[in-house]
Amino acid sequence: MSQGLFNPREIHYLMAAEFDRSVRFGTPLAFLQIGVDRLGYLHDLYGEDSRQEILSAINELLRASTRASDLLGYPEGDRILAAVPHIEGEHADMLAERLVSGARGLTFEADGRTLRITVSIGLTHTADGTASFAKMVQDARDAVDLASVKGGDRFHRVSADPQAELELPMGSPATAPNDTQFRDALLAESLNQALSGEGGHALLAQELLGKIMDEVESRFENTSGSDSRHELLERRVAKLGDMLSRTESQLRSVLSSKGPEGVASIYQDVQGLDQSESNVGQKKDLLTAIFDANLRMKKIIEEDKSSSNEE
Amino acid sequence: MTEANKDHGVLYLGIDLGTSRTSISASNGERETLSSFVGYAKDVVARKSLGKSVLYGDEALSKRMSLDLYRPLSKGVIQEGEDTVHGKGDKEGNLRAAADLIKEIIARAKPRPDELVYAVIGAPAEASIHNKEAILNAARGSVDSVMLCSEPFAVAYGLDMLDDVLVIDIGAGTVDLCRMHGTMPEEADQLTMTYGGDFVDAAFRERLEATLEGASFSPKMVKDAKERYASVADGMEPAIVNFPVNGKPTTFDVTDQLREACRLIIPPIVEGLGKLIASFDPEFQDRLKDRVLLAGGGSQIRGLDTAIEACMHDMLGRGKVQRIEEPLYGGANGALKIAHDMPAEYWEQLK
Repeated sequence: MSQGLFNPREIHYLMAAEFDRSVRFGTPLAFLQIGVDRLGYLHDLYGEDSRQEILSAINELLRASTRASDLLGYPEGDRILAAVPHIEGEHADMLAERLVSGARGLTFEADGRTLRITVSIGLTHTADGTASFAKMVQDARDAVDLASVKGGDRFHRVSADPQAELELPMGSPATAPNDTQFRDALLAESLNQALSGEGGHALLAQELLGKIMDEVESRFENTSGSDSRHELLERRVAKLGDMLSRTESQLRSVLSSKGPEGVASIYQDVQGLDQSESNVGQKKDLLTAIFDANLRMKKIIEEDKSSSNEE
Repeated sequence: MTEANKDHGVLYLGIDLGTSRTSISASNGERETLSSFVGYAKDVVARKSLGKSVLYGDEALSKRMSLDLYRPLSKGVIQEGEDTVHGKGDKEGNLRAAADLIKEIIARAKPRPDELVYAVIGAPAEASIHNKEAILNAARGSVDSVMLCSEPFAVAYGLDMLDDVLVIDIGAGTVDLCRMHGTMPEEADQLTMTYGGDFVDAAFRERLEATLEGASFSPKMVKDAKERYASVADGMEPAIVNFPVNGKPTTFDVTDQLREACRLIIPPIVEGLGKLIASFDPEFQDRLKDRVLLAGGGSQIRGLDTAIEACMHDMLGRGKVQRIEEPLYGGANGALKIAHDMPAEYWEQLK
């Protein structure tokens, strides 16, 4: 997913710089991590085009709701991260609220039916006593997970004081596909069990959510028999397995001949240009341009040498 | 370099051949940096007392009284004239020193004798073909295949920032500005200026000579003080140095002189950025202003990113500057990334 957003490395750099600047000058800064609820399932059901259409729409919504100076990137997977400098905590809350509400108004057509989506947002703000950049990023990640696990269509703001943590569940639920509704029903049932079982103690229930989600996912997988999801996972495993076996084979070959120093020899095979990178074509063009320039230079130098020898 | 028995893989190298420092990053995990000085023992007595005939980097500088000292690069290229401030300057000597410097930095990457060595060397954006040939000739004795690429391009490639980025690479000899827009930067995308670290050293030295009556100091003492305290911030750490006056160590506060000297490079850099921005597609000019990368040894001047940003706001309306994480290795890391991304057949053709 690119769509004009900063890539993971870029956004990490820019966010770290913004964080440093915020600490240096004592200016407020918010990080928002935004995830589309149930995007994986929508992808499995309606295909890659629908997924891209949804992400593009969210991208547009973000651009329209933020300032030109705010930084937008995709730090991992399909989530989008916004670094918003010079924003007070309450305004960051309002921004998150606006985004959640805006996403609810988006509609898509797939397989002859109208789909609506919701988003989950994790919000961290420097005013909440964030100790470090890494912690702030991790908190935003955890917060979006929590917002998503609690049913999505909401934002969760992390605070140093857990009791003061802000969470705004939003209005009318989105119209979701049938199997997703079934999955949500399983989740709701499990949540009710957990909450009643622990006397409604919210903090303890939160700790249980991760385990419950695993169980729900497992039950959902078993019940729905999602072949496409299995297929996707199998493809990923196969790809990783292939990379691993190539690496092992190269290592065996080099180690058997020359000892541990030989690892340099497999660098290109294992860490060279990643064919799955989004800008691999652009990089290949640039590398060819460097090569062509060097080849031209080599020819000019050789011609100069031969003409001076003739003289 | 002979190819015989080189049948056990390839060592990829990224080299940033700089006026002040030369850095290398290698695919075997080694990386090194050393001052770009090469010293040859003046005579047999010196050779015996030093225990070797060629010294490199800071070691060469510290033993310079016993050496014919060369700083083979000037303004990023192999120099051909006299450089009385930093070392000897005969052309043949500089070529030999450059070749020895490259050989030494490659040796520090610990290549195995049975592996091919492929290197990408960062050269100044506007180096002439003659200068590039000199660098290639100096490298060829130590590597099996070599390519040159623009230094600021290498920095941007290493960070995977290839679209709509402005790179400021502040070296000792030059400041290279490069506009990246997804394709190979052309001549119109690059600007080289001579407001680098040496310029700051000279300006600092002038101010010290004008204000520190009776104090004596060498170029190295001036450079050491700059590297220790350099800042453009109003509230910078006080720069306190000890220079001898009539042989007696005396303490001086040189904060103002240093800050003034460091600040001199900001306006020309922003002017240069303005030129590259003004000739860019107007629709993307603001994006370019918000994606400025600060690299090179000079980027270690404290507060420089913020000061350039402030100057950009005044002169260009807006600006965001990011300092790269590893100023000393940014160019070498990028060159290494180019080296191992480069298809094997390209390397073969340039052998």
